[in-house]
Amino acid sequence: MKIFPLLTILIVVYLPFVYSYEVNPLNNATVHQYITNESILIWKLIPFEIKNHAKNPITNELDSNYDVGNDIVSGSGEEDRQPDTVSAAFTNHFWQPDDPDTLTNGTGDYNDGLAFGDSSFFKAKNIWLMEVIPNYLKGNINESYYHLGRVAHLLEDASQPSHVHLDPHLGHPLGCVGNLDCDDSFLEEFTAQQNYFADTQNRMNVEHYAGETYENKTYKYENLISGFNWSNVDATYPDSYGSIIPLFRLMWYTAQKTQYYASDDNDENSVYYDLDGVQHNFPSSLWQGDGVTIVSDNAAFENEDYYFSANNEGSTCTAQGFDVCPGPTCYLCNNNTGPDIEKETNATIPHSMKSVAGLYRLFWDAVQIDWKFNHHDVRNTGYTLLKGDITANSKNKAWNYSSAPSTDFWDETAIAEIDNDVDDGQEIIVATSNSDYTDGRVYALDGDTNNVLWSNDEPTASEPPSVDDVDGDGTKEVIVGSHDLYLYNINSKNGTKNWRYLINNQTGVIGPYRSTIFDINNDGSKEIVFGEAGQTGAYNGHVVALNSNGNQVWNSSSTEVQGFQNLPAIADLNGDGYPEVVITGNGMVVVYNGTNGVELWRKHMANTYANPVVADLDNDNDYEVIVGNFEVVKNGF
Amino acid sequence: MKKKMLLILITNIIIFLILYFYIFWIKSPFIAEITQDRPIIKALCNMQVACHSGTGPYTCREDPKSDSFKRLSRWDGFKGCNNLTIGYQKDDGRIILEYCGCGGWM
Repeated sequence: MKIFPLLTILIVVYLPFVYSYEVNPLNNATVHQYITNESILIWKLIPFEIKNHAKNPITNELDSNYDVGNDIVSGSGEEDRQPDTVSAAFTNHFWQPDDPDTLTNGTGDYNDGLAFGDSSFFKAKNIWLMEVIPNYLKGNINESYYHLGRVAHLLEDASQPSHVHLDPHLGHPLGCVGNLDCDDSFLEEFTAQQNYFADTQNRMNVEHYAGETYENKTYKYENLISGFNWSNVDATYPDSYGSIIPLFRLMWYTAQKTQYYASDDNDENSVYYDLDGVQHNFPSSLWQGDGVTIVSDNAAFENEDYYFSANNEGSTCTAQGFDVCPGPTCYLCNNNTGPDIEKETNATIPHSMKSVAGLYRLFWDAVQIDWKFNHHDVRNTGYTLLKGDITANSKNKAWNYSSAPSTDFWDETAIAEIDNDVDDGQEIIVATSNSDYTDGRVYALDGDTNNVLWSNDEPTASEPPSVDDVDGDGTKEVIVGSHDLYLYNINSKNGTKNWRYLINNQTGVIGPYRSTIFDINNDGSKEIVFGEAGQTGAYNGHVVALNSNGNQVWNSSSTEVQGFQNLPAIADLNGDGYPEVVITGNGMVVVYNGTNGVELWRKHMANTYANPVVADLDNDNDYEVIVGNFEVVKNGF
Repeated sequence: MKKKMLLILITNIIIFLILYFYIFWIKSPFIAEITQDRPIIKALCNMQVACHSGTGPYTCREDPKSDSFKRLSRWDGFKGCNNLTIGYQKDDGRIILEYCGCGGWM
């Protein structure tokens, strides 16, 4: 009972103390969400799926865990609410990238955070490894994107000088206890304040910076610093999923570039340290060409950064109701606003957005780990970040599958995570056919042991399989065209048939060919796209799009003699936000509208045979279509 | 007796600090609460570590299940997500008002 009178006294004493602690109108809960949201607009070729997972409105309705409906924007806001963040007093949101070797984990761990906290890189790496990638592979797509937002938050922190100079900024009187630093961050306060710019009336100052202004300035993880020898600084963690080192490089580059700017209490630092602890200068300023003014000395902010003072030092100081300063009276001076803070904001906010756009790009490459289609992905690039165990000295065969019937002449594979056990590696899905296309099967093998997980011999003479979670139920489906004229949908967990679709059965028909799976009409659900193939000129084939139930979404507006004996590629070629379907036919490339199957254009090319590939070959942020053909020469092709 | 009083005082301070950190740091019960015209809530908001009461755009949703609606309902100035509520912005459906924002760009 004696506690309560004392508590009352303490609260009464404390109330005026906190009540008087008011800096300026602040809306600092949503700056992260704003940056996360605007970053979507920077990478011009960003897949619709990512955009579709960054649609939530910026909100102050935040909690500390994933909820149904959360997306990237939610995750970036809620990283500040995570229990480990709060209980660690935000110390795990800081990183000194010039300290590759911390005592706890050894050389190259880059785990130097504030006080005893882990570094923000260490935390981002763990979220990436434990949440972002595994959830995506298991089909928990929404959760994966939520956690991607949390990584985006940490990357945004790496673009804030205080966070990479290990300059704490609790901004709360509690932090003043024992003369500790109770300062806030002028950058965080300024960006959350309103009305500094003409276009931020009643809006946060950060809203002055629109993502579309920086379109195509995405930081590309594979080309961050021209000619730089990354092996001298790379973190020493295993490159799990092929994307830990790219993630490190993106975050390290972001943090190093940020360090050129001073924070409230620390001056700039434009050098870096290699794994041996040797200091180096960058070949040229990381800000070269950005057109920004670097503020390297924290003294520049003297008249702008707010601080508590015992004296009324000028007109910008206002008396406070409670004495938190040494001396008889306390004044709060400056307003966290002014031209030098503006200069720093002009650099760091766009820097943050470009970096997060680079994270989205890395994410997209990183989650394409499954070799889902005959040429890996929907653009047929055959590009994957995932590296296998094979080395220059590897020569021993791990295993070969020898239980298939000897009549299985053709076999094609896809590689995918289908048992939702990410730890045991991926599985192999094989479709086979005998030499005269009258018999075959589809089966799945354990990638480590070659054990047969299931087999389905209903499809005969199967074309290469495709594997993806078409209906979004968390279980992937195997889609395979068969020469019995059906396109089969098979449950990847147990090998049972879900449905089959009969193609247009005309004279000379072969069957449905290779399929691609993608949301081709931006309706939020995936469709299956494939070509009908024929043997002779008597057969005219369409390109067909099916929904996840096997119902036709569209039949292409035009047909091709002998149909389409290739794998479609899908990409937004014209930048209208909607995908197009690219496919090669008999001597031509044809492009269809992904929403309705209407032909947009075609290009005649003699002897076209190969699957089309879509890629940004010249880095101009527009796609090119690459098609191989063959020329008949004497005695061969 | 004096020693006993000192012990009680120290114990009380420790309990207070533990309670303070638990309530105002770990639990953070006043995040996004409306502080406009509510001085007690405003004071409690500012007692939370890393929280400031400040003016800014506040999510307005007329969904009784939403947290923002529950909070708005407790504020006398709320007349619905429309122009009757002072500070309502038609273009983004948010209200400019004073509320408890936490975390910042931390």
